[in-house]
Amino acid sequence: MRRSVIPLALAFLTATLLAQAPTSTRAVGPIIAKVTVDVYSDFQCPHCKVLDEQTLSRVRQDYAAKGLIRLVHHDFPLPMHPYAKQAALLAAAADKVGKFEQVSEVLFKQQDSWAASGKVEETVDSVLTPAEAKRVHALAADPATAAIVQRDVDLGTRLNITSTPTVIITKNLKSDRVVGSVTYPVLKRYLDQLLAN
Amino acid sequence: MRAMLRVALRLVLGAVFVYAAYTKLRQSWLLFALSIDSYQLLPEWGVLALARTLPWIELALGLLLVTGWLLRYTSVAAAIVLAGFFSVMLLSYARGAGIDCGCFGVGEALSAKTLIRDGALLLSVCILVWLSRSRGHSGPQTTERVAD
Repeated sequence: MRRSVIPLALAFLTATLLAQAPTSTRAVGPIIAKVTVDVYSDFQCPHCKVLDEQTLSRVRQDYAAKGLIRLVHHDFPLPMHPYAKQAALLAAAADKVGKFEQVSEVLFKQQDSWAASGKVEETVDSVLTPAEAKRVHALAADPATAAIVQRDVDLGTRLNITSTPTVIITKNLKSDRVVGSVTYPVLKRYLDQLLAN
Repeated sequence: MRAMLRVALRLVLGAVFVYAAYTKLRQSWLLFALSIDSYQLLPEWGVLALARTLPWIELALGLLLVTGWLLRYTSVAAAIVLAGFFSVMLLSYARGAGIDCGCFGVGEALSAKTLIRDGALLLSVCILVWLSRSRGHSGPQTTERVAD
């Protein structure tokens, strides 16, 4: 009796905590997915833009949204990009109001513009309501948000990541990494092979 | 002295080619295809064809270099392959592409270090071509056996 109560209590506690936690869209797909794709990205990096717009958007739609894989965004702003950290903070803050996907999309789409002008906040605000924008600005200044970005940077550093985008594909605790932007058809073949085996 | 240098160069270069082939053949060929794809120089069919064949070409060149068989021709073929690698890497590095080197399996970013390493290999193979160009170097040589 006692043995069956403990797992039930743990399951209830987990379900309660998950229900209370705000839904993050930095990760798409079930946590128990057979394959996990971790992307270390910098919003000011041109190759990250290409990867996100031409490849990851389709991976998100065709694989992660269907529950076949788990796609996780990790911030890895490079020191050579002056506005990358600010962009990462604003995107992480937007995640807390459920607008990560929209903010991430606009940051990549208008990368040339804000990377030249430095108008990162204005770019982010363009996809938010005034109330959301106010909240996102406040959250971006919050040390808790900075800690989220820093956690990703620390993780990437521990994994010896030196450039972006770096994609780490994991299946059965075995990871392979690909550095740089890859096209959707080739990545699709590899994901299909992993999912088929 | 020349014979000893020739033997040393062909053994080192042969081992490098065999190791490069091994790192690619022990994993899914599609993973190597992703590395080639990151250079963004070839269409999909070219990426897939190269990913399927290049490791075997590297293995064949490596074994030929180690054995010294047809050294005169093998060294030229190895020089052409390495010159191709070096040019593509240099071009991509100059473009500022933060991509996978793809040299020994996947996961190694293209950097100044990888360029220096590939440049050193290219220089070595050029010396080997020069050392192998004299008459009768189409197979393992008596002088090399003596030097061994």
